[in-house]
Amino acid sequence: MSKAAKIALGVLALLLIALPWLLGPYQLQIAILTVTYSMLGLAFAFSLRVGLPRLDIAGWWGVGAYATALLMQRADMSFWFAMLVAGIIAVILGWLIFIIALPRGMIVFLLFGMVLAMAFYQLFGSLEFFGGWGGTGIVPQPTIGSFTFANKPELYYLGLFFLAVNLLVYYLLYNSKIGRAWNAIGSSLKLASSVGVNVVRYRMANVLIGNFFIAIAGSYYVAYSLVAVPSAFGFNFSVYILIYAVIGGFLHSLAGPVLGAAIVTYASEYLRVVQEYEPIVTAGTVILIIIFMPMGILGLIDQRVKPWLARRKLYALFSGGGK
Amino acid sequence: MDTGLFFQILANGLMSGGMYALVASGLTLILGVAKIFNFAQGHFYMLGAYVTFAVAVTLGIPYPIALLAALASMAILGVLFHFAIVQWTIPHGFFHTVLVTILFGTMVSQASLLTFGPTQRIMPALIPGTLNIGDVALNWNKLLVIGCAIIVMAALHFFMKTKIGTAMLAAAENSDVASLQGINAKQIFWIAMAVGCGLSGIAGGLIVPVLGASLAMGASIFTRALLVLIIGGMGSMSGALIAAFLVGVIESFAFHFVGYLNLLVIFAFVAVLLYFRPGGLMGKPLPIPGE
Amino acid sequence: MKKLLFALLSILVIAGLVIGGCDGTAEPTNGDGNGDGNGGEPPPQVLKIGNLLTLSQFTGYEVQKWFDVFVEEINNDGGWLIGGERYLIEYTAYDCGFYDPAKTRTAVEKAVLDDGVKFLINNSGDIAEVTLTVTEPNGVLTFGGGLSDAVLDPSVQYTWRCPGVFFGAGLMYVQYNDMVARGAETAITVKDDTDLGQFGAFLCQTDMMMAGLEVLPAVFFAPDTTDFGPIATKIVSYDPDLVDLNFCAYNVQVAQALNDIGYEGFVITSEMTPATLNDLITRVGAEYIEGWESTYFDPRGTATDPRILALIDAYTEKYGEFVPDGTFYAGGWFVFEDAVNATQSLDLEVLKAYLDNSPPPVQTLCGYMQLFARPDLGNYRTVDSAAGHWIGIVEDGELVPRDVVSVKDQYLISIATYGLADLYRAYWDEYGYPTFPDEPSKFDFDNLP
Repeated sequence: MSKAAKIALGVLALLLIALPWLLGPYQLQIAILTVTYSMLGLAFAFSLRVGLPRLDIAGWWGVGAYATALLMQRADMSFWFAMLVAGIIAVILGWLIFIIALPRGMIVFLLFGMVLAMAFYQLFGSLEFFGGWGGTGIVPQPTIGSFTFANKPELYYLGLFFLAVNLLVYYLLYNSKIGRAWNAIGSSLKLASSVGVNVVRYRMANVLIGNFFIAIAGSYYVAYSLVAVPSAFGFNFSVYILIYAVIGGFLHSLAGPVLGAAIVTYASEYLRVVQEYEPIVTAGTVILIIIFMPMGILGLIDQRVKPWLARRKLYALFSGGGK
Repeated sequence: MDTGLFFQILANGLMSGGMYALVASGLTLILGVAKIFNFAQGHFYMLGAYVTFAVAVTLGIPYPIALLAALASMAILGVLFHFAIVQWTIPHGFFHTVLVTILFGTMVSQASLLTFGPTQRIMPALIPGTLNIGDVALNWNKLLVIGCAIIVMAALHFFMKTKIGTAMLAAAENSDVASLQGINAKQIFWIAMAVGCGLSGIAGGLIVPVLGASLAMGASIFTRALLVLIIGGMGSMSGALIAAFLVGVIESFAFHFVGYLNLLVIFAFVAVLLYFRPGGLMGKPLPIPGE
Repeated sequence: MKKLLFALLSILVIAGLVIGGCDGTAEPTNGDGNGDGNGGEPPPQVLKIGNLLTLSQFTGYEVQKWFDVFVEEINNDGGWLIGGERYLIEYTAYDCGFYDPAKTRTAVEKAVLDDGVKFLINNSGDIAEVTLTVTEPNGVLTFGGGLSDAVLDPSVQYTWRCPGVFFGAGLMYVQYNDMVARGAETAITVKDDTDLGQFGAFLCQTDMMMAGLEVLPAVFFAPDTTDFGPIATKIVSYDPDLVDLNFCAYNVQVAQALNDIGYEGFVITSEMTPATLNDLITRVGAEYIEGWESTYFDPRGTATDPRILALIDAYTEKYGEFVPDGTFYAGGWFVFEDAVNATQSLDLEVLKAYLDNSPPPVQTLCGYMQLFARPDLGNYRTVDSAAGHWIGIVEDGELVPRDVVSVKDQYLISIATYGLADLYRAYWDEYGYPTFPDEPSKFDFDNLP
């Protein structure tokens, strides 16, 4: 990474930390939503790496949220412990279900995921155990000692922390041995398995790790929403999550979903001014982005900006020499 | 359970199945030929219903013409949708196309809410009353729907045997070879969209005298069409047909025994089926480009 | 290089958002009032009122329309005279989605934190627990709460539930009583599987028992049902005398299916608005629905209060067609209006003192509404409401008013339904027995178990 890049990233980090002083509570809430949606988008990109697009993310997000909420309400667990247990539940449950679907290939996995997402939604709403369609009712806020995460800035920093951990873990994994195996599987299944890579085992690991972080996003959701309702975890939203990854840039597994989530979330909230036309405008805009920037915004930068800079021999200035 | 009740439940299921068959066949066609998963399929169904209502009730034009209006308008809308939006995403991949269909669906939903308002539209039944066979009551209108559905599917079947139809099937199999034979793949795509969306539109039109037109009808039918597709095997028309009736019947019986959780029964069925027959009942799962 | 550009881009985006979003909280403006010599009166101030509504649903949409009429009535008069000052009302409806926590949160935060609204009157479709987290710390007077008991917790200071459905069991009881008198013995309740449906089923079945009906197992169906044949089949397999569709959506489709299968018994539908009545006649014919009953919300048939009649005229003039669907749901406005007029104040604590201590019943568009305490929840302040209703019956293809369910009936019968008679008696002994508006009632304190 070039020096200029490091500086810029540093400035970015500072800006993100300073956000609560720059934005009002309403905008900060949008930032909180963005953080959550980023984590979900990251999970999509994460499993896409092994050639598994997944349409069940909202369902697992709900599992994390409901588990956290119910454990805090009924088992009197602290937020942190409940979050951990929720993550474990998502992993174990995921394992039990995916062990059926994964070995049968990407399409079966995808279809299973769709059906699973629909089933989760139905279960969360219909079963009294989860509180019915009205949801779980109010859940206590996270606390550390006597400090409660009650206000927006605190909740925002909490989310930023989770997002940072999420990014770090994914980054380390992508650059590890397991990450290389994943890349191999993602690029060519046949080749990977012919070299002796146990495709199913690596994919399972990937999907389960994804589940864990999706559940964390669910716990965070409960921390600021204070209630889990089925309507938040419907299948439709699962599909929406794809949008974050695509707009940001399909191939940029870390930065893409975050950027995509930010853009879509802020755009749709700021478009409140057009009131009832907002969904139309947002959807239309995203369609245009998908058509004209199929590789996402970051992809566009890769394709256009870099060669432009290279042609003007400015590339070297920015790339820190031969990277 | 006495036989009368049993046959009534069965009949109910078959009648729903007929409705599902129409929508699912449109979805299958588009997926099979153009390799596009049209998440807006339910919206064409809904719009077809509203168009039919507007033509038949508000304008007072005879119902069969209203149906044709639904068919034509949805086919045209599908083609416009294809040329304006979908065709640009096809080269970029399966998921880009899926996404734009979903987004288009969102736009259509909101636009419909603003245009039609939240109230449902009810029109009188075309043929009032029921055909009673023993203890079993069969709503005449629903029978008409099934009859029409069969006619439409038969028409589709013959269409697939025509020059254009076989060209579509050829392109579905292998578009490179097909183009060597002089078949224009691009043309096939928009024809497929036209036919698929038209099918949905006319299905919606057929349902209006039975269920009425409401904004949410697209989403509910789409869920079932999806399940039908998975069970029948993506890309298989005969599979879709069988699966549609199967889903209708299972839904009907399951409702009687477990009430509103009946969809979960179907989900479980799908899960088990996918385990043993990943291709669904009749088909091989289509390879999504890039697999 | 990639990272550098990403970072730069993100900084740009954030800067843009900060600049774009930095309009701070809205400052209350002094209205550009009547400069044409009011004899030295200062220009009217602005009173911001809002509500959280599900604008994509018909009732939410209707409530907004009514509020526009209410506000216009006052503003056209020169504004609301409160405590010697004139206030022009600025009303905004905030779309909170349908049971959508994220949208509820952004809506209420926009209203309270961004726009500075201090009065959220008549919320519906929001998630009350979420709304509370914003309205309580910011001291916003809130009427809403729907089905949530969270708003009635004693620790909640600034929320009153009106309209509410807790004290709504009286309505069903009177309906069932009527059906028993007409010869019904067995009854089945049919609901869609939603929050309201589940709650409603409990109320209906309990009241059926109280009215002396044999209660058959409830039938629930999914809201996205595509075919109602199986539902009718299931209903009829129990052989009921009475099918109760209170609280249930899809009346028309269920009616059609019942007609198909040849059901000939009694039916109570949920609100039979003119549109629903029309649809029913279209589908099954006027003859089939003869004798069906439902709640009757149309004030044109029952209202005698001149002001209510004036409001009805104002609505009809403004919108061209009178639609009764929202009349019940807009009831909270009158309670608020009464509180402000009685106290001549917009001060939160003053209004709270009034509302918490048994304010008198108010006349709304379709009956009286009155606030009561909920000792069963440990809340001794009057935070929950009971509303009077009319019942209608279909005669010759028209829904005509048949009987009134008074506030007293609603209150007492509900207490009996929930088995809370003893608890409430203890409460009344200590706090005093409530008085009710002057209307005919069927139930009295001695009728309680």
